[in-house]
Amino acid sequence: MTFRVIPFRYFTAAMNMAIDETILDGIRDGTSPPTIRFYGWDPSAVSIGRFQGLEYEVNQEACRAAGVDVVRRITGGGAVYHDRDGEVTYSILGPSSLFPERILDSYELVCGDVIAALRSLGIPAEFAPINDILAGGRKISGNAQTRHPGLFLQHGTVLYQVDVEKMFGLLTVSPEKISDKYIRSVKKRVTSVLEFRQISLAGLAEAMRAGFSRNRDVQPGEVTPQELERARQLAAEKYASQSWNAMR
Amino acid sequence: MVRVDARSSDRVEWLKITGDFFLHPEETLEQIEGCLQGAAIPLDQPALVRCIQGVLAANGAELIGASPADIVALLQEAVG
Repeated sequence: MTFRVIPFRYFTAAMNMAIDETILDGIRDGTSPPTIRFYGWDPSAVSIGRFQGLEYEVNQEACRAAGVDVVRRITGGGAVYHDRDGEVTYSILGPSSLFPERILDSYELVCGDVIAALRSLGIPAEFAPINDILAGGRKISGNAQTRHPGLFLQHGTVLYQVDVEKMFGLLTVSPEKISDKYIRSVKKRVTSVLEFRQISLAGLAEAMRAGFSRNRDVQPGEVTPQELERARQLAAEKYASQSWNAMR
Repeated sequence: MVRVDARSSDRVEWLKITGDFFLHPEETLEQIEGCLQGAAIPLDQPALVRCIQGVLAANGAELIGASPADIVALLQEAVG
């Protein structure tokens, strides 16, 4: 089956989540093809996991002051700060029949594409079950997936550059964790592409496109006008709404 | 990390499970909370664990990053 591959594009947090859901619905209805897309977050945003408590995870006042969007994902996992210039995010969506049934196996398969991309840049990336990718023993990519009946979605981020202090200012972090010592310990556990290789964000996105394309039939494409229209509606009604973002 | 907030009298009157765990399908969480909602105090923890396990099995659900026993133990902490 052929995957549509959509090159790196910037959208708001609500639109990024809405586009994923729209494509997933389209695959179910037979109006969208299996899709791989690469995207950034403009403005920068914090996304929280499907089951996280908004109040517990996000310093909403700090986000507002910094012009940072906040959105709840449809996938589980933790809170993530998506810096506009600091990462490349991908989504891969398709019928579940195209992916291993076992969750660990499917993470390993898709993370293998990210690992291939990073290794093509000379970065020693390796899979760290269940859903992380490490480089030099430090986290460089986090990934999350959801499965609806007959459908599969995995999205994840590859860190291009990291600003741990900024991230901590936007998340709700217990006072004992705001110490210099804790921030140093996080810096030791997290890394980014720029720590290994001087390459542009566009260069990273291109390497990821190649990584995801190596074992699949792919065809370049874009989000269609119909998908964009539906996504805008969904973004306004769901992903930009308090009823969704503050549901827990 | 999983967190359980709850309000109780002689029963669990209200509760909310939050955290960075994964659950497929995600909608199963409401049914898990349904197992615990209204549970008599003191909690019959083994019965509540079985109830959550039953919900997971009935939905073909996978809970990753937490266990039914974790959730029930956290509820016990929350209701004191």
